[in-house]
Amino acid sequence: MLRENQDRICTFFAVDYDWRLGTRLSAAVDAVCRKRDPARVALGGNSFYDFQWPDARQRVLVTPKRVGIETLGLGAWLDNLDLHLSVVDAALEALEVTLLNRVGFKVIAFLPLEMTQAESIDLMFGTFLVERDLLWPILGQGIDPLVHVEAELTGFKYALDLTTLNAEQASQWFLRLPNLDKMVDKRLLDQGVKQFHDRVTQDDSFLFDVDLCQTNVPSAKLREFATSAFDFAEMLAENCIRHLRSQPTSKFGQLVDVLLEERGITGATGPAFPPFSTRTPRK
Amino acid sequence: MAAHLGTIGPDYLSSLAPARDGTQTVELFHEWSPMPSDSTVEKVLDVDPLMPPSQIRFRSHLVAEAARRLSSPDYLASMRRRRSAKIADLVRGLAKHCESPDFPVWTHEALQELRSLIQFLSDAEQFSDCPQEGNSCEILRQIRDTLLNFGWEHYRRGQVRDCVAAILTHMVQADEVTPPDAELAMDQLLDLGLNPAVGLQVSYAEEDREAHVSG
Repeated sequence: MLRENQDRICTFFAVDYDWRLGTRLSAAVDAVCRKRDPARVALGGNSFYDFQWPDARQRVLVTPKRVGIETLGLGAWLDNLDLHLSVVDAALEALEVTLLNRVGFKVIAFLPLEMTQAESIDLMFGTFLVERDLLWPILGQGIDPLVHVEAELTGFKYALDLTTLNAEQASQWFLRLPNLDKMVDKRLLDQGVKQFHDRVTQDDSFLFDVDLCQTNVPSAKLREFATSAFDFAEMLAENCIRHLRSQPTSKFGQLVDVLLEERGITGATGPAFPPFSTRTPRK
Repeated sequence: MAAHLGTIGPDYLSSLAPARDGTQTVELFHEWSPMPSDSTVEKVLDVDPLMPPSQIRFRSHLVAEAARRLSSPDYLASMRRRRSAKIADLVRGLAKHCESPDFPVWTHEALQELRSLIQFLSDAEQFSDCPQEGNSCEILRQIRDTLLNFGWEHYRRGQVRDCVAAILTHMVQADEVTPPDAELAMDQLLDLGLNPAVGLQVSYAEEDREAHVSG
């Protein structure tokens, strides 16, 4: 679901660690620059370094307590995953950080549903919300819901926002994204931003916004987190959309099997949903 | 469905201002339509006695979004899946009352849900560019008919309930219901001794009558 719509997704990745007196932040900044020559650098108060690559619509942030990466488009994250992780690794090595307080991966996706906002709102009732008949005497008619869930599953804590957007709402949502200015050259003139905006405002869409994290992660396990976090987000998005459409949702275990099968690893349990009959129609 | 009829666009006053070529344009936007697609009709009237010569251009726009808004194929398929699941549960739930003398009363809710879903899908298709859930409607009608004309008595049998629930479960799981699915459902219902085509009996009688007359 996310891979198919990677040009309608923004990604954020951040590692947090304990600040300590004498942190060698300048060494971390130097390591980032050696790993990847920045096109533009912004300096802020409180030792805040902002490395920007406007052509690639990417940004790396280094502060005394956080190293973060932001990209416009999921492809900009997935296609350069090795590079992104090597930059973070280099910074952490220079900072002599081995244990991360928190590692987070956030996806904001404007997914096309091929239905109108009125229809997708109607489907939200009875799937993610109670039936509309129960709510309207309390809240009135014309409910435009936003569902917020905080949960924990398979080792990930996550905060999930789901809502349906019409073109105008999608535009407002996108233009409110923080730090958009810092990923591009000139926000109002950037073609990438304009094309992204045009894509997500072409039709009504379904907003899938998930921020998932793990705590107390050894820095050596960063790659493991980055790959499994994306798989988790992908599975969650798939399940949410299937649930909204009242399609059979798979248990996470079954989805893991499907992913393993796609990667050529045996052990998958086969199709989760057998056909209702194996009989052939009568002539 | 939009409640307004002949809604005028928000900038209708500005549209009355004369254009540079001396043409005044009046635009009307309609949101109520049996047609599923947008369209515009334009008529230009010359106002001869005026100097300089002027025209009035009437444009009537048909905005079909309101009519279309609850008939997207994905939406209809989602509603079919969701409501079929409810009916399947109701059919399975009949097991608790199969020995009851007032069993027909317990079948009423399932029958009402079937009728309601058929109505919903049929109505939605009126505003659709192409048929979307015709096969689903066909299966639902078959199941509905098995409950008519004392057909509910068959639902006391577990085999019948299981079969009908399995057909409905397929409609819950399938992305698309195909003509072979409808044929297969018909075969399975016939094999159980049900009557999934109550309406068709009339045509059989007519055929017999015609054969008798011609013979």
